[in-house]
Amino acid sequence: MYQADVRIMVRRHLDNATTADEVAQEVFVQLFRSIGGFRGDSSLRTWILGVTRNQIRLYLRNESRRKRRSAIVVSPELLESELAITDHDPFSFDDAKQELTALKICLEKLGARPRQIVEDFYFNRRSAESIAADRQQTPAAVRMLLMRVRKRLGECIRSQINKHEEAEQ
Amino acid sequence: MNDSRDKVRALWCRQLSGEQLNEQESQLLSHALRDDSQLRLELSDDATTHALLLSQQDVVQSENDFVQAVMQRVTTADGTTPAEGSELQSSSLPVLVSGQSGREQQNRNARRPQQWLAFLLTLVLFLSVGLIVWFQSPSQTEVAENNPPPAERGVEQTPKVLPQQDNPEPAPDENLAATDKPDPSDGKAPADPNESSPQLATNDNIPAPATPQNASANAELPNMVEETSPTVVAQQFATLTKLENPVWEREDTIGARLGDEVVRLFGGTMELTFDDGAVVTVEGPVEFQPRAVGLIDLRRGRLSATIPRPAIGFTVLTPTSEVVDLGTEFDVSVKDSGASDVVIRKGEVEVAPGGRDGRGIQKWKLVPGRLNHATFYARPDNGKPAPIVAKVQGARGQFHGIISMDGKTANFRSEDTFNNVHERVMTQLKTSQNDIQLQWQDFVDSMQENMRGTMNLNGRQIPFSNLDEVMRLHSQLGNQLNMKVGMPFNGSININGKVIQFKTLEEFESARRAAFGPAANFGAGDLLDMQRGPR
Repeated sequence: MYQADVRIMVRRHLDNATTADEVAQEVFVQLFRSIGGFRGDSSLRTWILGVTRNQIRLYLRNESRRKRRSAIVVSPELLESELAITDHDPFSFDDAKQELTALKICLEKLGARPRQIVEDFYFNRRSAESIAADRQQTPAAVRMLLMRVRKRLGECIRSQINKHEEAEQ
Repeated sequence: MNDSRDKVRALWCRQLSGEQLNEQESQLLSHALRDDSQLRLELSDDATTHALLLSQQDVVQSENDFVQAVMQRVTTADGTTPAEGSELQSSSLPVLVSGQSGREQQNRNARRPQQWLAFLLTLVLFLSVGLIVWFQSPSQTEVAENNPPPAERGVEQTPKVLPQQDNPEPAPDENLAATDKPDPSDGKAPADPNESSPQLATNDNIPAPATPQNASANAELPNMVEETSPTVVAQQFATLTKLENPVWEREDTIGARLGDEVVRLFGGTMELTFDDGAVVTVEGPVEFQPRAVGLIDLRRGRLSATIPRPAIGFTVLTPTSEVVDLGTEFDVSVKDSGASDVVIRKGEVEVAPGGRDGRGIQKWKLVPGRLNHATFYARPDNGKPAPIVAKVQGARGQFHGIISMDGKTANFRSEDTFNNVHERVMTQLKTSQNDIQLQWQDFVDSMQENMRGTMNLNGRQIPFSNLDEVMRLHSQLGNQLNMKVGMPFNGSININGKVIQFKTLEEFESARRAAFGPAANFGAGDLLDMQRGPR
């Protein structure tokens, strides 16, 4: 039931879907082996994300040694500094599937053009260069536009989650 | 401060989009993230939204595959299958990852339905007790650890959990509590991702990959098979058969199976063999997407295909063209702009404009020694009119070009005219888009007319016998006008037996328009303006 949480957390640090899923699978193998270590001191989710964090760190350390870092989003050095690998959840929500649902709603609220660029980049998996060529923009402009759209989506997700929490209260 | 943050954001965006930063850039980003807490939070939020977007489709859609892969890893990593080894171990994992288990469990389960039902009742009971209470109670955990549930539980849970994949709310607590294994390999590095495929093959109890496995369970768990097998079957239809010095973001090695996924190879060479025998070789940098057996999207880069008889019909789609093999060897290359080239090496291939509005305009067969090279020009997708422009050429100078816009297609047998008109179209599109479509229609219509005659300009006789030569004539005139501002105009145009005299530039303009109609004006601008210079 925590597969989405784990996979999304891994994807925060590894850009490649296949690699991220490999690491996420390894997390569950580790969970399977170390399940006895869970004593209920924290929530199950926190414990699972802790194991995930360790697994990401191990993977990045190995990758760093192998100098194959193209699929790494955040540099291993930074992760080693313990500053960026926190399982900081900007939406303060404890269920990744709810975040995904909120994201779906927010995507539908986007205007046609920003939505197209998101679909091209994330769902059709086109490169920024390829999108830029079509739009007659520079790849840098496309990347910055994507960042602005992500920011907007993040705000929308927060608002959706707040609504959800208020409704529950 | 803001400038430096923008610089870091730009680096961050490049890294997110899969680009590899150099050492200096990487350090700059790392330091900024370390030292600037506000920026760190901002980018952390961004990373999460990025991950959510990346996961939007695959986390949900490939949930079954993911669970299956975890199960395979667990069963093979320990050297035992759940049936041979600890059923308690295998019982804990499926629920954590939303519930799925191996074939042995399914088979056993089918043999013991009464235990299956017992498990359902147990599960409902545990759900009613509640997750939090169970987990937050150490005594509960200890009791469960000391009293592991009956071995049948691991067998029994599978059918209950499988149908619930859309509602992953089974009680993880009971399974977590039910298993108390020390952590013998804590800190172990993740397995080499390449292990996943061999693991499928090395599991003695699962002799074939997922499809046969699902098929074997079909009779017993039809619902599960209906949900899972189409995904698995559809996703893999090509095998990586050669790989040399790859620079890419993947971990695949020779023998890896590929499916409908985008592959980016930044450097090196790879060969992909589709299940129907079609062999595709690519050399980095290249971006492509195998879509199905017999179908591949080439987004940019170069691809060579060798197609055996059973794979005839193999199709390559590019942003600007469609290439359908008719039993052959051919090369396709796509530029970043989307422009594409097709060269036939052996056999026969059918090429046509592709992409937006491109289909159905024209098809050509490329054959070595005859028309053997096709070029499809880029079409910016910016919401503005964009012509479909393509040409095919042969080794002996054969040529056929088309320019098509708004359903009006002009055909060219002369490369010079084709280039001339293409240039005019593009110039016109840049300068004035308002009446381009109308002008184009008139122009194409005028091409149907017979244009034969002579222009006498300042004592020089210039014959023309078709539109091609008229276009060339205009091109020459344009060049002359640019070079010789103020040159005299005196002469006549004799076209199809009709003679029009002129003595001044104004009269020449008038005569030219009367003689050549839209062909005189399209894209060329006004000769009067050209002579007078820019306003």
